[in-house]
Amino acid sequence: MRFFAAGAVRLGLARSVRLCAAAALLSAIATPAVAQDGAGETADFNPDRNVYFGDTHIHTRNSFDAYIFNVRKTPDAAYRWAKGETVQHPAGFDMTIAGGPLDFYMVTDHAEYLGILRAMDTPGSDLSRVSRAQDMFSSDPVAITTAFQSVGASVRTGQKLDDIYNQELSDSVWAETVAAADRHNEPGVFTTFAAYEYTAVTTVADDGTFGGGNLHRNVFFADKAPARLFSTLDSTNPEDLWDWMDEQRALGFDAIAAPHNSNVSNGEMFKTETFGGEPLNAAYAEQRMRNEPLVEVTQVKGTSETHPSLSPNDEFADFEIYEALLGVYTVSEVNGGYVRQAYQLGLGLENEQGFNPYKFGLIAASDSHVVAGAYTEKDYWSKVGVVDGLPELRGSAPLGPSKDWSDEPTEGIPGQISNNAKNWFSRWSASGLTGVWAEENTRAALFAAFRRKETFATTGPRIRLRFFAGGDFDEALLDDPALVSKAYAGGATMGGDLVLDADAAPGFVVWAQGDPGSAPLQRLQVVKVTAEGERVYDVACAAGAPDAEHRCPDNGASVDLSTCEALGDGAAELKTLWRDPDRNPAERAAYYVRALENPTCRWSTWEALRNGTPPRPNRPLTLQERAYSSPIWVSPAG
Amino acid sequence: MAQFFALAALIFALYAAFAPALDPADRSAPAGAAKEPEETGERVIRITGAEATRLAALYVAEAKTAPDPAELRGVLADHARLRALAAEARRLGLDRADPVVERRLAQKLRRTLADPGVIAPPSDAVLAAWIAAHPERFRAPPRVSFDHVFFRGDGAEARMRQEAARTALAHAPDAWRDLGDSFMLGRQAGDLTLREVARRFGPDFAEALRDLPASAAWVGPVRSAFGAHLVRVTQTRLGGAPALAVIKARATEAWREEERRKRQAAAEAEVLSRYQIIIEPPDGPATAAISVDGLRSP
Repeated sequence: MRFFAAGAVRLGLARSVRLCAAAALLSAIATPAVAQDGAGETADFNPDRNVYFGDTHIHTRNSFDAYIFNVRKTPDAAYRWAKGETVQHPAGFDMTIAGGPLDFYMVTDHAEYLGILRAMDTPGSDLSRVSRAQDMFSSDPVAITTAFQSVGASVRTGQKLDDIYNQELSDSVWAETVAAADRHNEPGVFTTFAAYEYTAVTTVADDGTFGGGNLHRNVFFADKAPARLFSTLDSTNPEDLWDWMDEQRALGFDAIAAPHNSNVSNGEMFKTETFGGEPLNAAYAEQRMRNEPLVEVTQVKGTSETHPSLSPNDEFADFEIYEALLGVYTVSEVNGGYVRQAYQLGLGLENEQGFNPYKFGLIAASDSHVVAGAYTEKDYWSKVGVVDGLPELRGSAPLGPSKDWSDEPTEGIPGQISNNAKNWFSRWSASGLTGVWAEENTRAALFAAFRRKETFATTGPRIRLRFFAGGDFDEALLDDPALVSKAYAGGATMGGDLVLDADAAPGFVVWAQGDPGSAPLQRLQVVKVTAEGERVYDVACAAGAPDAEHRCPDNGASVDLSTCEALGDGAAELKTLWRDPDRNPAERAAYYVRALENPTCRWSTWEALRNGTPPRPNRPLTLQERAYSSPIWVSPAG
Repeated sequence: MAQFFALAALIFALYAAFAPALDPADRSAPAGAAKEPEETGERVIRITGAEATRLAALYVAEAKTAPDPAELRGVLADHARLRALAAEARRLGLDRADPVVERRLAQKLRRTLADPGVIAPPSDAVLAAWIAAHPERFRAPPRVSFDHVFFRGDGAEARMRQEAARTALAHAPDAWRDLGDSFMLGRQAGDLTLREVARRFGPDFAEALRDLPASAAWVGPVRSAFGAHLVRVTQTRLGGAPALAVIKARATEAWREEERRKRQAAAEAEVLSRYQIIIEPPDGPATAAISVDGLRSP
């Protein structure tokens, strides 16, 4: 029995009210059911599955924070952008997607005060007459920030602001959101999902701000959506979100939640105890995996694969590490904040207690609040609208008069801008996209792929990954024209499980194709995680082969920092059959692929170049874009 | 408290710089605010009793408790400090000397000019004429469907495999699915535009496919970013102008966006027309004003 303190009785009553309300409103948000038969509904149906790319985390003007960042674009604009149209950023410049239209796109506005800020800013509306609204949209700086902080604090604490909370208004904005998703959903061409963000935050200090550790989850519905959403104003405990999702599933609204930014969760995302401090158990693990089979591992606010202090033997562990908690400069706790460690934790729990709540697949997104994701280093606009809409605000161009970073302002407004650029925005990233293997581009096929975790995450480029493991796989399979169908039939793929006899010598098909529009591939790696630890193996190299230490020779790739031209050769495609040299048949292990491109300029270096000023010191000048597959969990039979 | 004002100051600075002036009257200073020193000619920062009351009330709403005297002093002092710094900055001309401030001021004005008011949707006749005038935007591009056999690697061995496959296909063109290597994106491509082909296979491959007709015969080897392919084009579809009904919503949005941009550009041009613009060549002074007509007409 889960224990939550004061809200227990209130929640119980509220839950039964919600059930009645949900049933009554069922017909209001019905959308046509998707064909579920096995033959597929579109011309591209492929039983060996095609790869589709999309962004699962986008905000529009309906989010309370995006509205304050001067975002005025709607979900329609978001979908049009993802399909290739040009849309204006709040700061006035154009945003156009590089690399062509995406295959799927999810608008995930914060459920808390959904659409409320816009109503507060609409002349003549009831909400505009409330004094909090008048302060929020006045020209008085203290009034504006106090009002905005009060909304953020309310989202964090879950205490409703009765003067502006309006469930009916938020419900109607949600209904429009669902309708927009349905309008733009075109089976076989472009897939949308009704989705939103549940904005849970840990408590850091009770100073009335919304700063804290990130426990946000993006919730996406398989097809139909309920009329009313579950937000932190209902409960700030993500486990209560799972209870609600279980109820909704029973009513016909299947959904998945994907947590993100565990890197700044202050260690609260992947723990050895429940939200309320109870020990984990099998029921917890089943509920967590049923509702959160995926984790968003890379996005604008950094990458949560691993941390150099957790993975000292991984030369590539220091990629886009971001550690500032939400809204404050406090550095996050590392333990409990990274997926590789969570995988290890999960395997340990499975070994000792027979359950694993951390057996999730990986996806990626941008979390852009300007309806459009900035996926490329070369054309980057960060995420929070006017607040980071200039290089100086993003921290890639100096604010000080001498323009050489030697005299950055420290006082007053320029000092605050400089501090925020230094602590937050200069450390943000141009990430990421989700890759999915599914039979066709429809809600049903993509959602089924999400459920079975046949997904991978990229840091922006459309690198394509394939990963299979089988007890009988051998090198001949690589050259077999029917490689894919045989691999599916004879083994497991990313996100899946492989159970092996003790005498099996499994082979792993590790295969990546670079994005023709991005840098070539440098190497493929397999990361092996057990309850005891981890090891990273280079398994395929652009130049030569891995050595006895499982490391690729240096392929000599580099970047000309005076022009950001990428120099040196790489591989368009890498493919290998790998065997684990340290395999212990009695041991459970999780294996996932990490594919690295050749080095390229980081967005901040591109901007410094264009601005004619030196790059900020103490930041990476280049990076290696990458893709991460969901793991294959291998365990002994019996 | 410091962190509160960190974000506070940031949001103020940027909101003030970028707030959309939908109704400029709404952006006037709240009643009771002190006049700016330049207007009064003095260096006085005055926070009136009404303002102080309001700030205190905001503190209560925010912190759910009344400020004690020290906290209230802190709130008012911070507010006064901010106003004094801004006033001094303006007095020193920091706003004029700072390219960042300049950029933000320009953007702020641009934002003001960007609000075009209501743009009514065009009539069908106007829309149809506009679509006809912008064929490249709405024309459905040509599409191609093809089967292909992929060969990894370069070198003699790969070429031998290609040759063997070509021979086999010449005799039995439909026995192709077991030849060559696996290709990550599959062996068949259905109804792709050339841009989509380029994104998947690389630009050279797309270019090679550009004028290939549908045919039962295999051609190649054609090089892609990944290796060599034998290709059989199974269908081509010409591009064309879609019916108005199909593209009406998209075209209306695009027309309105262009209208909005036109009005914005006209407003900016009007501002520009109020200034004489002189651009000196890099070395030495101007001998005459350089024509900047190009600047005035967007």
